[in-house]
Amino acid sequence: MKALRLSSMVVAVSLLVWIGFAAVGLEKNELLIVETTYLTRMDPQDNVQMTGYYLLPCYEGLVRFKVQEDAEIEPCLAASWEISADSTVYTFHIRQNVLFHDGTALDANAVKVSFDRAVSKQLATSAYISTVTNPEEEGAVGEPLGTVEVVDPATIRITLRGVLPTFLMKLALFPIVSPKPVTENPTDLGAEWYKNNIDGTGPYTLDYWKAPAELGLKRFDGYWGGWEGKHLDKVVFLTIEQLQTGEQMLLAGDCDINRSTLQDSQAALRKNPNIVLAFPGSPYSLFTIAFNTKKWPTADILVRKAISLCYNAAAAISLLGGPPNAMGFNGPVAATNQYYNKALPVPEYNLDKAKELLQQAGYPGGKGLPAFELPWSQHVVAEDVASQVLKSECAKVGITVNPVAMGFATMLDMGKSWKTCDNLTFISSYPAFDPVPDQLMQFMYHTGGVYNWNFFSSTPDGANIDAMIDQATTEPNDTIRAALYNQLQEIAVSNYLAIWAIANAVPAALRANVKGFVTMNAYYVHFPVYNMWKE
Amino acid sequence: MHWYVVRRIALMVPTLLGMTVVVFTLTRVVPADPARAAAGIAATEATVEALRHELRLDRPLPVQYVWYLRGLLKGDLGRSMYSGRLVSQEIVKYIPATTELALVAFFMLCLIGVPLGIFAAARQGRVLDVASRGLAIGTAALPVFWLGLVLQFVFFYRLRLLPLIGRTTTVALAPREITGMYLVDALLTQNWTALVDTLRHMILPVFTLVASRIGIVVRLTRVCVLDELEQDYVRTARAKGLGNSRVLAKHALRNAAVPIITELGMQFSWLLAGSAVVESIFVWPGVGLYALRSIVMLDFNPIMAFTLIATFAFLVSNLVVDLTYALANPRVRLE
Repeated sequence: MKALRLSSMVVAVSLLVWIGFAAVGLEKNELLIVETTYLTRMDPQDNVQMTGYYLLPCYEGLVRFKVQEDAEIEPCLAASWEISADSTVYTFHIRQNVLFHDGTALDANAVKVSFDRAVSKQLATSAYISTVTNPEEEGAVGEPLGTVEVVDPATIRITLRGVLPTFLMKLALFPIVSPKPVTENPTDLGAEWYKNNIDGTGPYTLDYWKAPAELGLKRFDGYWGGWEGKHLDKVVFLTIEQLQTGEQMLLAGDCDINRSTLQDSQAALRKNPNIVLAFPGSPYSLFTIAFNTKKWPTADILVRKAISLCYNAAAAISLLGGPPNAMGFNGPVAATNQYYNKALPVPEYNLDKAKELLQQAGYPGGKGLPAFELPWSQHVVAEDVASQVLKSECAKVGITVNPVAMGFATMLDMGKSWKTCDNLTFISSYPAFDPVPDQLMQFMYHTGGVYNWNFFSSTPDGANIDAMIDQATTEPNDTIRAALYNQLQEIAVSNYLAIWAIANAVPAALRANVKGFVTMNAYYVHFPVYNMWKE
Repeated sequence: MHWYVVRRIALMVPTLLGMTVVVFTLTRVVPADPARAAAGIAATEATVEALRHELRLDRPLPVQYVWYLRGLLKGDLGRSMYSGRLVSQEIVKYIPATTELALVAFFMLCLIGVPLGIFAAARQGRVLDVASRGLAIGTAALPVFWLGLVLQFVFFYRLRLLPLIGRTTTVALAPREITGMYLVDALLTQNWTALVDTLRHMILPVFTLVASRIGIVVRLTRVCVLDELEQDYVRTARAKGLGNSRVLAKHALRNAAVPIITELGMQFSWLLAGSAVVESIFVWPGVGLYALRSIVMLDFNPIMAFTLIATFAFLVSNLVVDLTYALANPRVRLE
């Protein structure tokens, strides 16, 4: 009897809890985006991670990319500008009647404060306005591009130390922050304040932040662009690491956008009339299996070529769902890049040729070769699949490849020296989505670049590669630039510096009532929320 | 007894210090460049160096530890490499969510697990006993993350009965924050909508936590009670005419209490410190989720802070368990 009473009470309470609840769903003017990566830093000048895009609705630069597929610059906080004849002096005319979220008016001085802040504290976005030069040149690394000068409250002049054709594109990625927290906190230039607050000129400002997973933005009524037409009132970024959870929310209508979709679900999502898949215009990164060209035996071009011929790109692409999720690529630069070398050959898969080359190199049937470890970034499915494909194909010619999952930070650490770096290593060629490849080239192949594996310098043309990259970065003549980039790509391919494994693009899934979304090639991921609305 | 307590508290200090040495060393010998990982691959070398210097990663390991210890003594748990914020400020925000989840799960564990174990012992060999043993083995074998995901799929996606993630449906529905524990805050502010919403959001994560631990509690309770039921004094009590319930509650259970309390204490510590997976699945903004994120990102200071808190939780719950022995069993003397 007692047990019966107890169980009845439990059931009754359960029902009350469920029935008594008034379901609250998404507001019509509220967009909920499910992400898989946490926003780590709120300071937009200190965040160049992918999650920096969460802050894009809140901050703007002097210029910006047009909301369209191709990367094209248009005015933003600068209403207009002039460039000197020698392309080193940029004079920007600041847009009038623009307010920061705290009510401070935008002027030339506010812009200068932003530049000075980023450079003096060596914040991450200082990379966009710093000269990328040979670090052996004393004082060159981290130096700003010349001077930033306030001509008058409505005019700012930036004088570059040299020509930089991509300067405006870099400026589009450099956020202008309110000077008020900076001047009110002179000791740290507002660093502590910006870690928890948002204060820009963008259409949205901070509503709340339930760290680490939920960031809520609300519209800034004083936005200079105005609010006529259809717009969203609120945008929420919610981080959920499990992809299937985000998918369940999307299908149930509990979120509007799921930023990363499961590959297995994409076929079903395509058929769902309530869902639209949106592929990024460019891959985030090109997954490349780089060779250590200084270490035996991959110092031998014949060995590199033999291993390259073992990679079955078609099999890897198929396993990853085929285009547009996964595509092959032919060299260090993405095919969507304007400086892509169209003459590059498609990488060959030929096991017989691989065997011949091994014979030629003095390793018949792979005898005498060590077992190669192939570190790949844990959680990156594309690298996992590609490494397994390489392993199984190499085994057919007598080469042993052992894929090893590793943390990204560990891989970076190993790559600091060719002596500690494995013969084969997965590298993500980042940022593959950049409209111009200069930053990618600097990261990947320039002496002192992030990966610092010095592959190029091990080729017969090694002595010239850094100079070629530097020249391409600053060359004002577009034909010469294109020729330089073509040549660099050709050198990388003909010297078998890497296996061009997979270009992987994970689509976002949107509810069909979300309108106004445009794929922008300038970013891997960006939802131009100011231009979006829900029906 | 109070000297016992003082001594135990004093002994916590070297234990915690020892933990800091071990974890500090382990986190820093991992082959990785945390400054580069924190700055991102797009950052220049200058930015990375500046960050490395700011975080004192360019100093020798013993120097780094001394700096860390100095900060610790002042209550400074360092800064997160990724967010740049003080770890003490961040972690304080997450503790109430974990504490609330752990307390509710613990309460349910005691409410269901212990009585189930007692009934199973009292009805040895019968249906309830067999069923409870099956339940115990089954739930112990289930991976926590799998169970959580399946529950989400069934109760949210298929049946639309319960919410998927989080503590409340929207931020607007959260109660005004007083303690940070939404159930308590909702009661204090008499916000019944928030109370119901919070309860609904707790069902699945609590169920997942309880299901993963209940097997051990049920089996241990059953074994301990069975042991006591076979003792001579129980036979004597029955011979004197005492009913089954009285024999169980007044005699057998009290003698069986010590190991059960020990186990419950350990379970509570686990619920506090080991709920990271459940918090991750249900996006429950607690210390576990914070720690998990920090581990993946090699963010040293939050990892250290979490370890200290988890160690402290274990030490405190052990102390409480020991003190409870004396209450449960007067023959126990704490010396």
